[in-house]
Amino acid sequence: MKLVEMSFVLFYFIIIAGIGLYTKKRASRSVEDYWVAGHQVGPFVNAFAYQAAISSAAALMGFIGLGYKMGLTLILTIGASTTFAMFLSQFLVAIPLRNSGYMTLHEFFSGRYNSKIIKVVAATITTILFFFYCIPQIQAVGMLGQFLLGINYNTSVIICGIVVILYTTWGGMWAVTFTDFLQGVFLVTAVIVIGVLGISFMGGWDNATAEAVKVQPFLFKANPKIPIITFIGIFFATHSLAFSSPHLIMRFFTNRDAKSGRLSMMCAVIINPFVYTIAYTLIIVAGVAMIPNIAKPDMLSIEMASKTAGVIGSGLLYGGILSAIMSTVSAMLLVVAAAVSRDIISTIRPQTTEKQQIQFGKIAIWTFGIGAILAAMNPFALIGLIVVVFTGAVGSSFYFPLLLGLYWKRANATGAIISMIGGLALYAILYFNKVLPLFGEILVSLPVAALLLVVGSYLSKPSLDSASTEKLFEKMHNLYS
Amino acid sequence: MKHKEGLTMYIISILLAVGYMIVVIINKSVPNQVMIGMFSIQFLYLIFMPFCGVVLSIVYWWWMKQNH
Repeated sequence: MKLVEMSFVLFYFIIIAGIGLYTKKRASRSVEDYWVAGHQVGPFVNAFAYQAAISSAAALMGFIGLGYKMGLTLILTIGASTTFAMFLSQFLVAIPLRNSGYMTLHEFFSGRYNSKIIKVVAATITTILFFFYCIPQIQAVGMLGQFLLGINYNTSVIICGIVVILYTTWGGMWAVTFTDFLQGVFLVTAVIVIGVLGISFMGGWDNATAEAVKVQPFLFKANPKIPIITFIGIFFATHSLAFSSPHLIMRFFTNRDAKSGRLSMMCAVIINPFVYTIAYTLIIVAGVAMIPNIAKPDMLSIEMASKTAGVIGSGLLYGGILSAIMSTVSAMLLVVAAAVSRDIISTIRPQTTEKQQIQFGKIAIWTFGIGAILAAMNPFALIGLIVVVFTGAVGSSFYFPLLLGLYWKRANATGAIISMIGGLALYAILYFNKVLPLFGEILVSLPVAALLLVVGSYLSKPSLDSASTEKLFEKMHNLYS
Repeated sequence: MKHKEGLTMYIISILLAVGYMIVVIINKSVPNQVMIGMFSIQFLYLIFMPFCGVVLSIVYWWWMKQNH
């Protein structure tokens, strides 16, 4: 066991568990406090929390490894598409969603489309997709613990998993927000520091790029192995995920008001390029030049940190990766808990009280959290594909029901339900049959989901009468009400 | 969309996304990629696009502050 790195991790765990305990009382005041932090989160905190929630295990391991192997353009596409999604969110969704007054994306669907069925359908899709997405995140923690700290894989999975479950259960959205904020700051700092140290270790930008291009000729070019469809597909897949994923949408409901929501997205737009564009470019260029024949490219950032800043660098980066993973898992567990208790159980059993809702939510966090830990301890062969499937599946299900629900008055429940199920099913069929190059599926499933929503809406009655629709749209689009 | 600031930004963002697709198609369609120095135009566009988003966000914030 490596004591210095271990002490970093212990210190980190103590802080986030402390936040969970500190926010426990605040979270128990009301359902609003538990699920959306009482609608009281400021723009700066929310921007970093959003950044942490959007960065998963892939951010500091998979993406950097992919950039090392395939060149920078693929990774920069993810950076550009996520920034693009945040940019659009400022004026397309942040204001109307906060004005709507709901607490989850599924509740918004239910209110907008005047349908309980859509709430249950959307919540079920979210629960299934998010549960599977949590598994590789927790698995990554296990591998890192084994690699960096020298502890047993299962022990690492259990400890990290339990810490996330505990602070999420204790503090609800308050704990998730504060820990995500802290984790976001830590993550942004870690990647920028490692990137700058890496370039300076290689004798500056000019020297590092000259060395790196000798090793990876396609570092600054589009890799010829990657087809045009994949380049365009990955842009829209990550964009639609960042734009419509329920765990990110939940952040809009936590804002103090619509103005605060818009400003939080503006701050996120400013932060994101420093991580996904500048820091990743620095890390990958320096990494290719520094370690030309790395056995496991996913471990590039960790090996770089170790080379440039010794145990402190490794500890810092391990903290950064843990932050990325734990913030994503906690945000997803909370969304799953809200989906199960508020959106599914409370719809089926309307007499459920607010207190019972929170209790059911806590049971859901433990159930799905333990389930993800057990699955991560027994990884199955397809686990690596989950991240790819998840990225496109969320967008295919929710992108157009959200966007058209906000801006097209004629959109109704029938169209939205057909769009969600049809978009998801088509994406899965195309993906598992390998009909198109990787990520090309979204280029078919997204337009088809839009078409299904339009056709379904025109072929069935409006969900709301025209007066109610006008009233709802007036409320949602009223600037800074 | 009720406010002209948001609508303007939405139109610009559509143009940015279309621009990305055009750049990818052009860059990947020519035999040796379109290069400016050691960087392909696709790489440069991907660096430009997020920072264009930063500048436009600040412009949007300023514009909203002036009018609302």
